[in-house]
Amino acid sequence: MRVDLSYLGRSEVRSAADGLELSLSPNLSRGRVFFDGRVKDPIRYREAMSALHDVVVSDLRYKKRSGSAAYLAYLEAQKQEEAALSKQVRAETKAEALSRQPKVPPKDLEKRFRAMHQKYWKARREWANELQRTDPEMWRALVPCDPVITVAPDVVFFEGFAKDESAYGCLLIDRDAFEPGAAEGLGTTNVDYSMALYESIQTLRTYRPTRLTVDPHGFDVKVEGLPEHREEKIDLPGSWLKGFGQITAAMMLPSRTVRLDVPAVYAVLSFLRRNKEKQGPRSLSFQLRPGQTPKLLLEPWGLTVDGGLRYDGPAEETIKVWGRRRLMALSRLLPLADHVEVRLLGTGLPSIWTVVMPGARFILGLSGWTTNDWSKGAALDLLGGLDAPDPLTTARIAEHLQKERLVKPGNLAMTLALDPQKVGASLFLLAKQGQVIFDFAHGVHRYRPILPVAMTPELLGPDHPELVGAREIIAHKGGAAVSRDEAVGKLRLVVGKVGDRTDVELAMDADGIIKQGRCDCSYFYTSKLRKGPCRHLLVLRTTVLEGLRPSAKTGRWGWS
Amino acid sequence: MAGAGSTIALSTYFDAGDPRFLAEVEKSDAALVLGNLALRWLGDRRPELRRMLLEYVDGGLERPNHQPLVKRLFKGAEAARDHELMAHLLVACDRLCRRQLKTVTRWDWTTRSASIEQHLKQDKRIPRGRAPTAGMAPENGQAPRPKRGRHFDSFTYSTRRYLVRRAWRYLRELSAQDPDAYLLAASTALQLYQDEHLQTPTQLLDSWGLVHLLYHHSPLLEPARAGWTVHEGQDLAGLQPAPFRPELWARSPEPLFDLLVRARARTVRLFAMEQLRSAHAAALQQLNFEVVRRILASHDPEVQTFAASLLEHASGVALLPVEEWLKLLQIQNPAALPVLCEQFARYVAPDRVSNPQLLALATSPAGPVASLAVEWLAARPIKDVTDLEARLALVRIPAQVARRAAIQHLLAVGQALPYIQAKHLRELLDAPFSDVRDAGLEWMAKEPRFAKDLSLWAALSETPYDDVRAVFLGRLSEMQGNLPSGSILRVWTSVILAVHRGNRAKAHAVRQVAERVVSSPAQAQELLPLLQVGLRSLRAPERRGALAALTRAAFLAPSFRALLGVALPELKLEPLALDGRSP
Repeated sequence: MRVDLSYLGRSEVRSAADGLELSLSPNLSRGRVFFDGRVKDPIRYREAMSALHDVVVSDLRYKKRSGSAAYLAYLEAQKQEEAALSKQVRAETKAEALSRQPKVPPKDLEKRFRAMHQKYWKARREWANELQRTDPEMWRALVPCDPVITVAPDVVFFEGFAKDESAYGCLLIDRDAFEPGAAEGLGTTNVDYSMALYESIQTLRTYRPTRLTVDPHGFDVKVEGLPEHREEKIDLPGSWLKGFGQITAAMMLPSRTVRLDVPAVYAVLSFLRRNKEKQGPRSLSFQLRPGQTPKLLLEPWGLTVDGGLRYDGPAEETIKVWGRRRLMALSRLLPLADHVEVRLLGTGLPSIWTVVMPGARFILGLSGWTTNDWSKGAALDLLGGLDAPDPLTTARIAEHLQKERLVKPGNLAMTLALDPQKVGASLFLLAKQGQVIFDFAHGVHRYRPILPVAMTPELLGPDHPELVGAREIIAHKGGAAVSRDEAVGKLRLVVGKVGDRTDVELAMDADGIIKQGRCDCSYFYTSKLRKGPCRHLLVLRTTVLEGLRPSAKTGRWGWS
Repeated sequence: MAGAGSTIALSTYFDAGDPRFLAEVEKSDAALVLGNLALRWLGDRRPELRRMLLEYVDGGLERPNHQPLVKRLFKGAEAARDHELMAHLLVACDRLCRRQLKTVTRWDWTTRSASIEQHLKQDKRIPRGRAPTAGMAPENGQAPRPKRGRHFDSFTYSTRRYLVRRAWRYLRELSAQDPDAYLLAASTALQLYQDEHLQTPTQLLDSWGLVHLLYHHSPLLEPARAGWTVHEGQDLAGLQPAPFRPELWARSPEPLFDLLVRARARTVRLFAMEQLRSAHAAALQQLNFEVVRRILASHDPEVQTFAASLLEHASGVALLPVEEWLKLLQIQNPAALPVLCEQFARYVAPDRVSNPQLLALATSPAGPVASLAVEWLAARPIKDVTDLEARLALVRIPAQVARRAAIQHLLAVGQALPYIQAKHLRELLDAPFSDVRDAGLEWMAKEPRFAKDLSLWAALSETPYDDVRAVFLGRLSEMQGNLPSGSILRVWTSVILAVHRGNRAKAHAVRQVAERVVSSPAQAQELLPLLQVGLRSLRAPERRGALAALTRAAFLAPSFRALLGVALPELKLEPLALDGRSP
């Protein structure tokens, strides 16, 4: 989807008469939004914005090497060239060495080598950083879309979504964190963001009073033709937008809330930072018992960390999440945090991590896996229920939200005289379309259009046909009837009947990833697992992993 | 039958000249409706519709069921002698034919040896054979309908070849009838080619019109029925510009300058540069600076480098105002910048450039520019505090070499100035680059009045940089009594909870926290959570360090021991007898 960005000047940290001014340049092709307030604690703001930066630039996807014929030919040519060169050099060096007296290598050879090696890598790192900082194309490759700021009556919040479509960051700053008397124009817009701005944010200190401004100047003048005016048309991938919508929609779903103290999160992060797992399972397992502190099990090491704060959930259960290295984005916030709240939707489903700080909250939304594959989207949609939202109801709710900016779900149903279940389905749809965000701390829905237009299916492109098929099977034929579910070696073997297909088989590893499968449908016959699992395998996997039953046709919501 | 498009919307938008008309045309696949629209659209003189017409052609001619519209536009433009539209059609037609390089192994049974040959073969995705309506007469003035089973969504390969040749033929004949118009049309076409359509040698050879325009007389290439081919034994690497009607390009360099600046394909820009060098070498030696500046504004680094090489002989450079030079020095080309800097130093006396201008230059990311600015700045004395504060912006120079020179300059000048204050040194400590911070820390340690300055120590405590925090902790014992406890606590918290690095600093910080617990028992409650972090860590060294520090503090401060008994009841502390056993 093509998105227009138009800025007058760059976002930057300027020196002002009374300190610093962090001036953010808003997107002029959207509605007029502005803000001008003095930050009470610049250091807290600096660290929280840096954490958001870490989310936005993170890309933890596995980078596969190119297997193209040209690349392989290049590798072969390189290998031959190096072999020839090596042979020649070896022969020359041998001849030279033999011609001279045997000599003891200098004592500090190792030290000199290390110094030179260090120098080389330092220069390489600096060059990479320099490119990241100055090359606009590289920056855009790193950050597909500029972050979004929303000025709401009670909070100001920034949101960003990672390049790898798996992590969502949101920094909510209470209005109390600003000095009284801030000027404001409510709304949502993109703000120009760059590596240079991130570096400038590092200069914030308490001895430099700091004002945060979203500069409305560009809305008041004719910007076309001005040298500072900059327009950019970016092509946002549909999967990126879908991922953004799904993660924000995940906040609406019912979940288990676990509170962790700072040392627990620190213990997990610092251990992961210094240890790399060489084989699976790579999950972070929450072992929850009502009335006790939660235990966090780090696999495959089998290490347990005590959560530190009491869990008051309804039942004893274990929930596993994956992609735990994405939590590194929280590391800068630990010194400022009171505690961390984790909302767990279920095993393999998104998790929402909230760092609670005085005057601010940082939300890190993580998809079920780092590789946010489309098949997981099925489970998320199914959790939202199979009720199709009524378009007219959705339009009414969107209109109401646009006017009111924030509403409580119960009030919304009463005000508009609507069925609460229908309201839930419509709000879920609006969240997936990037129009609404659920603020669970305040229990309100906020109107926040991530793009100037709703991310409708027409804009995002259709879902994968097998995903659509899987949904239909669950909706109409009642999911899978599992006949076998047992461990075979290191894999979990599941056999069942899905719709009219009997003997659908799949083998998953400990992380729930399909390793082998068998189905007699034509999709599986032609492509096996190369293009992803077929609808029958998807239904079978969803049934055993998420425990979904066909009777769960109506959605359950986080606020109900 | 219209697909997603609407015939009513098409007609309404056309009548109103609505900008949505083009999108509606692109959406439509109603072949007959579109075919009937062609002559009306072609004949319409409204600028908006004309713009959309050219944009439609530039978008490609392969939209499904748009064949009638394309053909009628083509024939209409030809009949109306619309050179501009024909130039656009030439470029669009050049993308219609696509071949693929295939490797074939042949076995010669007489010599019993294999040979490998490469051939250009037609892309099999394009339908072959005769067009579905070939040989059919129009029915009642309507386009003939193809018989059932003979319908193609796009042009056949034969039709494509025909269109490509016919488009080039139009320009070729134009060159004989009206050379000026040919040059204009050829320039228009050359500006429209894009890199994305010329990424491989095959794509270049498939661009029938482009190869004629640029390499018509090349001895390496041979025109064949299926398209251009390379002579046997020849290589495209040696391809040199050999345009059709070279004498027309040799008349004036102006069209070539236009191509340099406006062409979107590197192939065309390279042609323009080569042609300028070979056919206009004398003119290049006497260029006016205005022309060079226009070329310098190009976004292509190769063109910028070419323009920089022209700068040396350009007339009017010496008269250029400083502001113009500063704009020129903002280009990002690493090859052109050294030349520009050399010319700048040659024609501009340093005193013509003000201090703010030099400071702006010094913060340029380009090394040569920043180095020159720092060199000139270093030669100027610092007059007063305001001047000094302005010059401290040098700590944020991104270019490394220039920054190193700037640090030396600041240290040399700053240490001799009587009015230098702690807040000035603080700028160095807060700099985003570690080499500047290192220099600042060294200066702070060396200068007695700064070494114990509380404002500097408070600044160190707020730093986001690990290197500065480590130095802070290392020297904390000298200042611990004077600093506000909030500052120290902030650093301890940041160090102990640092995830990424700082193992040595952590151990240091934990020891200091334990010492503070002993010296100030009132703070024990506040500091205990910091010691607990280490105790609960999964890393053994951290646990050991925290346990040792806690134990030491517990034995030295009995009140703390009581507190520990409440906060960590599982921790049992018992003194050991001299023989190592519990009493």
